[in-house]
Amino acid sequence: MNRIAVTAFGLMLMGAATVASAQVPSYGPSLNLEQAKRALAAGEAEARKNNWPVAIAVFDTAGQLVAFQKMDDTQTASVDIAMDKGRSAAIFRRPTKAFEDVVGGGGSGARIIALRGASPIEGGVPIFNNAGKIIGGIGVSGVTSQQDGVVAKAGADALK
Amino acid sequence: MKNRPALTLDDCRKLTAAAEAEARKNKWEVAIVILDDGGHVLHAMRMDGATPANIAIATEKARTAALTRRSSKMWEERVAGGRVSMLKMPGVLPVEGGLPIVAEGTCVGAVGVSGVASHEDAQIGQAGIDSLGLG
Repeated sequence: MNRIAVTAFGLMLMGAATVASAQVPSYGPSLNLEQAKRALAAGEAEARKNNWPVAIAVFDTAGQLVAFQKMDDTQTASVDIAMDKGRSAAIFRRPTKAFEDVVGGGGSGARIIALRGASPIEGGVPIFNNAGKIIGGIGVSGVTSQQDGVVAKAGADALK
Repeated sequence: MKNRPALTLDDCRKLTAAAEAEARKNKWEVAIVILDDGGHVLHAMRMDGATPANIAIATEKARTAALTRRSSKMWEERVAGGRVSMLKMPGVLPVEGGLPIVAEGTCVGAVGVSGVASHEDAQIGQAGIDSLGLG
């Protein structure tokens, strides 16, 4: 049943937009709270190392929030932006940077903006387990989107 | 200009850890959400076994308390007391489990808990607030 739902969603996605490569990794089991906390801690460590105040949000494979934290002095807007990025990465199974690049390419790439739930701003990446399956997504906001992406990657890499 | 206290990430961690410990002690699985005084999320966690709905409900309970500076239980009691029109109050979820966090006489935010019976949710939230030693 799980597999059917995922396949149907994948087909829907490909119909809506052929973004990046057609080879998109599969979902594995959703991450648990302990794993989400590890991703938050690793992201935070990277952010602190660089003195970057950020909000970090971790989602399960259904795009539902598992853990969130906002560092002191992070702009308020970053709460929702981090969540948008993390959810996008989880439900579309690809980094938000992939969407950013397509939009940045201009022309028909702008249609990505109309995709419901897609964030076209770097800083959200899928979280993989050590079997290469997607177990969630992490979104970061607070500094430049490229720097947000560095923090998100550090968080996700903690669970590889 | 007036200075007012604000919740730090460390405060949120301390509150959440104490609340989570209270929940685990009772074998309860819940979502715990902390908002600032503007209703923006500062910290959130969903224990394994709690549902996605619990995160949304905890957030709305906390928002009720953060923005009205009153516990969501107070709103529940007003509705239960017959003031049904309170159901139309903007941003109010009148279900126990959302508590304002008051420091130096000012509401600095709120905690919302969802996952077990609503008086138990409130018990968890209160254990979290107590850990901050705000007096």
